[in-house]
Amino acid sequence: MNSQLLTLAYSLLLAAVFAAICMQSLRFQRQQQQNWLPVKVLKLSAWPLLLCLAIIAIGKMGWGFGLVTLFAATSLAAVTVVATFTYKPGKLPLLYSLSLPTGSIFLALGLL
Amino acid sequence: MNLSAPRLIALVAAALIGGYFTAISSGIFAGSLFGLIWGTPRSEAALTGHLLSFISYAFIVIWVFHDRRPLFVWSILSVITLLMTTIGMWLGGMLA
Amino acid sequence: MSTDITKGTPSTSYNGGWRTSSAWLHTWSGLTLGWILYFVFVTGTVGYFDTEIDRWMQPELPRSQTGTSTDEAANAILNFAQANAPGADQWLMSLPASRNQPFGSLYWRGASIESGAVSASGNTLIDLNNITALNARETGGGQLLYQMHWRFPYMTRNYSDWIISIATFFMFVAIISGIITHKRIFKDFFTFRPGKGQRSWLDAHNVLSVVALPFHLMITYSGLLFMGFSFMPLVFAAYYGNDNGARGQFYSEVFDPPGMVAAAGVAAPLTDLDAVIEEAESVWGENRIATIDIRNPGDSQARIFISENFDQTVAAGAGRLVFDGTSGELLHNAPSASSPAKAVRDVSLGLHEGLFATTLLRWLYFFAGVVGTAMVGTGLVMWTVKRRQQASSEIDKKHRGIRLVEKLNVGTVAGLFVALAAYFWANRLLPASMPGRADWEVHTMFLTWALMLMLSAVIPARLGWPLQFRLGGFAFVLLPVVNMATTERGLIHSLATGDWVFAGFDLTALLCGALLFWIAQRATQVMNKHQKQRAPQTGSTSPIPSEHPVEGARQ
Repeated sequence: MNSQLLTLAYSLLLAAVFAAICMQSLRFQRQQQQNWLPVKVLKLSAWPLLLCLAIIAIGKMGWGFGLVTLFAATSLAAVTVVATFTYKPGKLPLLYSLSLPTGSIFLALGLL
Repeated sequence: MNLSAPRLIALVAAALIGGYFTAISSGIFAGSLFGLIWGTPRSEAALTGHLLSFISYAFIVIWVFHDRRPLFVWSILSVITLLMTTIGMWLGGMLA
Repeated sequence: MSTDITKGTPSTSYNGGWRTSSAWLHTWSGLTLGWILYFVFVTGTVGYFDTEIDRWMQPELPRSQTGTSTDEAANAILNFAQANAPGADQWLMSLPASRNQPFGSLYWRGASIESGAVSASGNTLIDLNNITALNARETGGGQLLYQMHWRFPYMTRNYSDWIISIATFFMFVAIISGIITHKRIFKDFFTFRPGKGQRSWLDAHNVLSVVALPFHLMITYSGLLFMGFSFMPLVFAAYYGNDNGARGQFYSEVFDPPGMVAAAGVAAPLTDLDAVIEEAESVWGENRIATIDIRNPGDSQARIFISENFDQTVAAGAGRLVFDGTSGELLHNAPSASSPAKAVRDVSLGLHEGLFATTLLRWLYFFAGVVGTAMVGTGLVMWTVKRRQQASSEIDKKHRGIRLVEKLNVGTVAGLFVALAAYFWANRLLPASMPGRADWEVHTMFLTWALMLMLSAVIPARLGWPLQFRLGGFAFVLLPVVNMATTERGLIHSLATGDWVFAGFDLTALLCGALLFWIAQRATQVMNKHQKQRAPQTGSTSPIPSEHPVEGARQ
């Protein structure tokens, strides 16, 4: 288990989660004429993914390290998503589709 | 928020000074209670009370500025402080 | 659209009751000591890189010696202690076990000068390669910078403890009342609408508060616990009485390692350290020892307290082993968390300090600290923005208050960065042999801050904001240049040789400078916009508090 890789993985995956949640929001739907991914898919993916990430973090790293990694990565990821949504909302799908796979790879590598 | 100066001073004093002592008494009370229920030594009870006293302090301050009746706030805080300190120290005396 | 805007904002969604009163409390508990909190946040954030800054501020020191094996390091320090501090009551040997302790060091007290000790007590870094003291320029370093955030300079400990405790408590109240006030925390999670005046400030303040809310709560509550024993001593007095002896009783029941004994006064040789280390490593695993504390070395009642490196646990308390100093027998094994309440305290304090954090997590801590700083900063600015909008419709006597807050804001929110940079500049530019050098680094920092406050007092805020941010930008961007000019370890050299502590500092300074320039740029734009909006209405009785009345009259 590599804590550095896991921290990186969590920053990326949480960015994907927040991007997904953000794209569900009405404000985003209103701004973007067409839906990049159906809202249903996003709704189905984001919250369970967040739950999974929390379970893995606490289960694998323990309460202390797990929560601290989760919360630390949350602030970075959330700021990234808010900034993207504010200034380049069109790039949110790209952020989502880049950070989800790379984050998953790092998560797998980190857990090995 | 239109608060006259004497009223504001009375409230600030109630929140910061009155609240301070109420928070301490709540720590003593809660610490002793925990100590008795879980059968811990007094050092543990003191530390538990200590950890909780800050949280009650914050909520006391919020309550004081919500209620905004200096006389009422002061009397409630005094009664609670007196009660919790007395009971808390009495219970605390039973701890190892 | 307009309904969307007014919803979910503390200032407009009052429906009486708790939210209204909390909003009021949030405003005043945040503002009253806000500048102190800002200082605490800035220095505390920087403090996450305390040992890295230490090393940058002592460029004479070699690269860190953390790779050294436990045996080798312990014996080297022990040799140094025997040669330079014989007859001491205590040798506290810190091994270079992690980034928290890049070099070996020895603290000693009660040494006998007749037997050849260099001084009765002392604290020095030790070069493990040739067992000599490491000498470098005198500086407070990153340690002092980090210490400033819980102990103000120029003040007795007693005063500073009270001020910091109260400021921290106000912060705690501000956070909780802020949560109560802001009902749509999750709905507004991603909402930032720039370029809309007060609305944008509120959005920014909300986002900064919410995204790092767990961090803000944790850092503030644990901050209170750090100050707790001096802030709320009466909880303990209820159980232990209020005299000093009783308090000592409490501390020793909770914190002392078991098996502390007084010296017998009978000489006896110290046991072989290698065997003790071996036994400790059989309990904790290899290279897990952080400090070896020898009490009464050379006495028949010598004790050796070994502490575990705490980088594998979040909690602040480390596991401890106690050995007999003459026989080498293991007497006690005290695990770090001895009780649930102490565990809560240790985890809170450990999370606050973040000593366990590896590089990436450390940067995230730093980032969260920056977010917290910005949260306090935007909060302070918002107070004036809101009141200035109200004031422009009703000219009232409140102006003086708004003006004072605004002046303090410019000189602190922007000016503190200039002062921080000045601290680093002083480290490079003051002569290495200057007496009281470390003190003068601090004096430079606070004189610069005072200067920035004076500057903001005489210059209108409209110009002061961009000016002071720009000054900070220049000061930080030029830091690597100053470093290159005054030491051999400039950015090019450190990048080429992979010296990441030095390269990291210089690059962070550049980034920080760039960020300050960007903020200055934004500030200019915002101020110009305000200026244009106001220009038609301003008459001889200028309602704009940030400007000279004379200037308003001329228009």
